[in-house]
Amino acid sequence: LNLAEQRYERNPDFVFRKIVDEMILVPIRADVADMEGIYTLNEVGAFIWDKLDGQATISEIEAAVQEEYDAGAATIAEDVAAFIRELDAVGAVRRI
Amino acid sequence: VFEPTGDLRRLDQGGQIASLTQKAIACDSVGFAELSVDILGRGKALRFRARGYSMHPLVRDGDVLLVQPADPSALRRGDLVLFRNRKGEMVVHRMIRRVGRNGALRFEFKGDRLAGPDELVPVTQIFGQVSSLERDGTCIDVRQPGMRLLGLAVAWLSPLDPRWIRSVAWLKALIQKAPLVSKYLG
Repeated sequence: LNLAEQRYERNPDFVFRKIVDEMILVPIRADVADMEGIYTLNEVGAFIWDKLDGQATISEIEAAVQEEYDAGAATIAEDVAAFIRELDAVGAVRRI
Repeated sequence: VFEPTGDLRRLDQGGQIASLTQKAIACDSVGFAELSVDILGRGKALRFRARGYSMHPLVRDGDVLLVQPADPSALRRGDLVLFRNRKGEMVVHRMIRRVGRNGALRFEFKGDRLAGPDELVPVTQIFGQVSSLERDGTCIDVRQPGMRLLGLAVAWLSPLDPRWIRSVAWLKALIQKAPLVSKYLG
């Protein structure tokens, strides 16, 4: 399967909150939220997180990032894929 | 949340444009209260590192607490409870007594090491109950009968000056002989 056409959705066991200027993801594992192991997202990370609804493909998310941010297409494609792989590795998203 | 602005937003150069960073959130940080209320409200437990000395020696600065969602009507004297005080800070102190009934029910809490109780706390500001403590690889279940008895004794003695309590030899001996507690208190 072409990576660009893959879709991911957010794991509902990851709580997303914007607190002051910080975007926070709190994983809930075995019904416990461990505040010693939360994640912070930068602005672009939070933008991508918002798009991971199981409907948008990776290429559509890349296009959305390109419309909003000042970066080259190759950089965006590489970094969006790397970021989603990181989210996948910690269990924050799952592939549809 | 993310509405297109029409203008491209500038990005910091260097590093990946989208980042995910793991960290800990301190219990005295701005976001902790909001997050903890949200998570306990979902019926999930909360694990975090305690800060401060008000519950010394049972809870020490840096100990890790596991807090379960609390049903205020089920709280018992001596329980360790997570509540929000008037300043908006999340606090773990010991429940000393209930005041009033039904809609006007409030709770009195006190740090074991503090001379006086906290202000009365309404039911709406009570969020969790400590179920266990971790320190240096040792985990202690604070809801086991021995710990409940100890908590009840401390709650009963709470009107007394804590310096006087610490000087009572029999209480010190009771605490230090209790299984597991002695190792935990060191």
